[in-house]
Amino acid sequence: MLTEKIAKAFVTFLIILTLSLLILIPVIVAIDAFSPTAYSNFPPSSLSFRWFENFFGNPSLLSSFQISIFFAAIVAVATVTIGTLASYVIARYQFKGKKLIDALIQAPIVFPGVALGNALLVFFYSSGFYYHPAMLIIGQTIIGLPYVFRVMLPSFTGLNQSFEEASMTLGASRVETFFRVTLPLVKSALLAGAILGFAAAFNDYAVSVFLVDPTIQTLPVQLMGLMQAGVDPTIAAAATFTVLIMIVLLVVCEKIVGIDKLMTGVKY
Amino acid sequence: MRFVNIRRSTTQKGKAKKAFLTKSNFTPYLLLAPVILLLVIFFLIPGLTQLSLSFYKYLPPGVVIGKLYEPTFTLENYIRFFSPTYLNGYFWPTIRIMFASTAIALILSYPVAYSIARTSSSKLKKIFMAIVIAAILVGPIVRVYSWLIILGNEGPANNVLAFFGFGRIEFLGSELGVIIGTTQFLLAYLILVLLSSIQNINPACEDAARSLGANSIHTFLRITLPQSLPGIISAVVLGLTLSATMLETPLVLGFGIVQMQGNLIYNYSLGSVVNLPFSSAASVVLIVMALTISYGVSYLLKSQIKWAK
Repeated sequence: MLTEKIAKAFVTFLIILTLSLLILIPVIVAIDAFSPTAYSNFPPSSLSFRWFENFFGNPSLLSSFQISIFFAAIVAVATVTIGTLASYVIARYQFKGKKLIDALIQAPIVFPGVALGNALLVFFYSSGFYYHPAMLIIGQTIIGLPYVFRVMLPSFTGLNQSFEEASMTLGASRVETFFRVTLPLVKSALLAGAILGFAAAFNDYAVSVFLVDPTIQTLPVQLMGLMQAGVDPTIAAAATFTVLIMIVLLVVCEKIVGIDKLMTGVKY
Repeated sequence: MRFVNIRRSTTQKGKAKKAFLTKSNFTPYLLLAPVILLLVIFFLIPGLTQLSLSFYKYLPPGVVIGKLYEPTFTLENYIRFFSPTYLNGYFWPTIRIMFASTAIALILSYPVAYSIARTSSSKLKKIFMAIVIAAILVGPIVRVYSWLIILGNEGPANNVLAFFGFGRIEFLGSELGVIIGTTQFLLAYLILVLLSSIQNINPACEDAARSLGANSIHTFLRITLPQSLPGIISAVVLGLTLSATMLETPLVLGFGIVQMQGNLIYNYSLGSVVNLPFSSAASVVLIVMALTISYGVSYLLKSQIKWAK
């Protein structure tokens, strides 16, 4: 009986420890962003906004923040467009090599990010391209695509085909049916896919660092560069903004489609 | 009569469905062409370029102006990789960090996954899930910077240790620090994998064991744990693959003292000495490692389970 109680207490301790490890990480960064001293002194004794002022007063950080959002938005649109098309075809057609194509689309998710980044660097270098913003967008699209695909595929396969059949019996063409019947029925998956595509591109470091131009840097790449030089609460201020963006996306997703949709994409 | 009608309508529906699925043999390939092209040009071909470059000869800067390598077949990059300097500097630390952090993360994430799977309140379940997914959506930068603060010499972790009368530990630049950071990174992913496996276990089995007199420890060890073994295997495989390919964590928390496979690729592709053939070889080794783990470990463990049964 006693051992049972000890075991239960230990398990409760493990649960609390794990959950606090998950929650505390962004919280500590946010607290550090308000610290009054440059030398990170935790917990801070008073509140200060100077690091936020620093972040907004730093043109290179600010421009990389804008670049990150801009690129991630392009990648979100690109991955959702390509991912929708691919998952629709795989869900609705029978053809040879279907399994192979499915595996090819999902492959980048298990492919090590560093290895993919290096492969793209080597490929672009040997084919004569060097530093072009399109390289970054292509790299981020490839890592974002499997997440979108994983959200979209089950929503197409789970969709009752009689809606589409009815539309086509009533004289609509296949394309018309797709845009007016199928797409509106999977719009929640479209939103979840767009959020995952955006987040994958916005947060990526491992692939992007191999593809950025010294003048056009994404926020994660620039912040990692600063971090290797040491602790600076300006990094915390910028990081707090990225956390806020992710929280907003999560809340939007929860309110409109429910969090479970995101899970199917994120889970390995 | 009615029976016949139903039969007719089902066969018609079957035919319609079949026609709907196989309308044309050419359309699917045409529609998939953009995706296939994108992945072949920017995923498969770069992978193969990297593979072939790993067998190229490295040219030190200045030997031939504007050339970093020469296309003559050589194994020198792989021989260099498997020399003691690089094995001890990158390969063995990677292996140690992989296994340590996967083991700790498994122990930490199992209870959380179990309690999410078994909680009866749907609201609580949603909060748990939100925490886990938020932890995944929060990027590597936030995570790594947070650990930089927590594990610093004057940081909260050391303050707590000092408060309880222990000496300060230099986490940063030590394998322990990298293991802590990696473990925390794995938690959310392992919870999701374990969760879907534990959800498939029928709670009635546990209730039956308890009603037959087993205490919670016995119920867990004899009923729950064996049934969740497939989930544990996938969690181990995922943990090992994800930790093998870490870049941000060793880059920041390792302080250049503790380095992993990711650092090796980074150092020789983006560092002060650019040696693309060598970094490509390191990259190929990393891919082979990740694939061996995903297929090898799961195969080994699955055959063990079959044997045990």
